[in-house]
Amino acid sequence: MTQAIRIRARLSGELTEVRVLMLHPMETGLRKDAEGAFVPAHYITTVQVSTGPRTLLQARMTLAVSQDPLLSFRFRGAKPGDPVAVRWLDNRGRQQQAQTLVV
Amino acid sequence: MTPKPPKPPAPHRRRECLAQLAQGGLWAALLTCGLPRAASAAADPLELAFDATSLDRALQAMGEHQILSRDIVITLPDVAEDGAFVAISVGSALPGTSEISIVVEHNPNPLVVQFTLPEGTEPFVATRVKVAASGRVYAVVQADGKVYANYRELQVQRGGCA
Repeated sequence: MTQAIRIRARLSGELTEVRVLMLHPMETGLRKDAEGAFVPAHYITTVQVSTGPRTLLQARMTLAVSQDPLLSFRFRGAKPGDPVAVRWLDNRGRQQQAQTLVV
Repeated sequence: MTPKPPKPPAPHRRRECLAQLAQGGLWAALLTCGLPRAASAAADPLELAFDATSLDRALQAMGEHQILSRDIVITLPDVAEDGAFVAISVGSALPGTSEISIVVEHNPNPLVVQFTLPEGTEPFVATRVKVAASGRVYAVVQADGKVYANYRELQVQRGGCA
């Protein structure tokens, strides 16, 4: 099965670059299926990226973020081996989380 | 989370769609369905901004006096072939940057995403957004209690909001 969240956290000098790919349909509710029926809206509403107790980034999303949301940002103060965790929630109350280590 | 209702016959599908939009917490959908005005007035400014269905209202809800700033750098292609996937990054050189939002002029709900950046996180984010039609793409930045904005024009060859 496909990993629903892919995270990469790479230390370079003082900064750690984090890239997150979340596999999610991000349906707007405006798209019609082959039979002409609207596909219900289904999208991630919040994303939180953290290292231990420290929040690194919080995103409040709408259905206008592209399918399979991609996020990239940089933060200070990490060392190799530190955990970087991602958790998302969607409008159906589903949630997923995943973690990687800084390399 | 409510269980998914059985699929109704075709004539009801539009209603089903609206109902599901509403269940999904989309205030815009609720408003379209005729919810009293007072309900939206009670919402906090961020909710108003997300609910806004015009650029002006979205920007206004994010702060009355926005300062146009070249310290906000928006990276976008000049022309996007597919409006469903437009790569964008926003960087801010404004001291104390704590929030970055992306607002797309002609989207049904212009405010697309809002990032909160705690101290220690660089004032920079990159993502991909849907853009319904050619027009301006704004980045709104909160820094030291003030609200700044910048924008870029984007040409979209195929709109991406279906």
